Amino acid sequence: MDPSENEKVASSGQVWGRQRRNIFAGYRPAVKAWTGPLPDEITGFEFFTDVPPDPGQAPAWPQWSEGRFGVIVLDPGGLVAISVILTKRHDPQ
Amino acid sequence: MIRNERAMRRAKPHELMDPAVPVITAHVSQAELTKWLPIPFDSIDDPLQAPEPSLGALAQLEAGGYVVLTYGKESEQLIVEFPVNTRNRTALLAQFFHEVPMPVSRVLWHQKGTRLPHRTVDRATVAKGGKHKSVQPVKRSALRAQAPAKRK
Repeated sequence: MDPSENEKVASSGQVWGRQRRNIFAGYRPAVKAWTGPLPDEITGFEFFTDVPPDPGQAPAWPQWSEGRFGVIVLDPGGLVAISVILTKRHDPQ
Repeated sequence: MIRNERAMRRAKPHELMDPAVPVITAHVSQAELTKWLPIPFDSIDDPLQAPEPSLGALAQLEAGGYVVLTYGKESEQLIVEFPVNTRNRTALLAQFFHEVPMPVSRVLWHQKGTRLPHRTVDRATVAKGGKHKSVQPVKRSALRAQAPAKRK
């Protein structure tokens, strides 16, 4: 994982996402996350956003896809972002 | 019944151009994933592609349908997605469980409007009101995890 990810999110106020082209071609770029608090032992970050996730997703696995309301398109077909408020971060040791 | 005689295969990314939607999530250990889904998975370590270190694959069932498989190494959750234009998701789900010897009792959530195969439903789990459930409201607070740092 990119050890600078936490700082990038903190400084930009955005979480970015892209598609998983190596799995299948039909993915639209999307920000992906798990719902819930960040466990103590896990490196990562916790955030809040007002942007509604895509409908029809698994409850614990929200995603925000290109074309949805509030999703910022940084590179059409390639990279998107949502605005977030960072609420917790655990940086790599 | 020897179920593994019906083998799914790993498909190439270009074989599915349509978006996919999650149909079930299940709690599975990595050893069980390897045993029940014996196809090569790609590692997804880019935090822009997955919320946690993950394994992913596009697979084609013996019966012909495509499934997108994503496995979170931290959460030990398997997410199974079907192409959005699948006409009968219940039928494809039945085919998936016919070819994959994963107990239906491992399912944590399934898409509203789809039905799990009856013959393998773990009634005890359902009766206890355990992990088998349908749609839940999504909280907007979320996290994205990275692999724990190595310590020397």
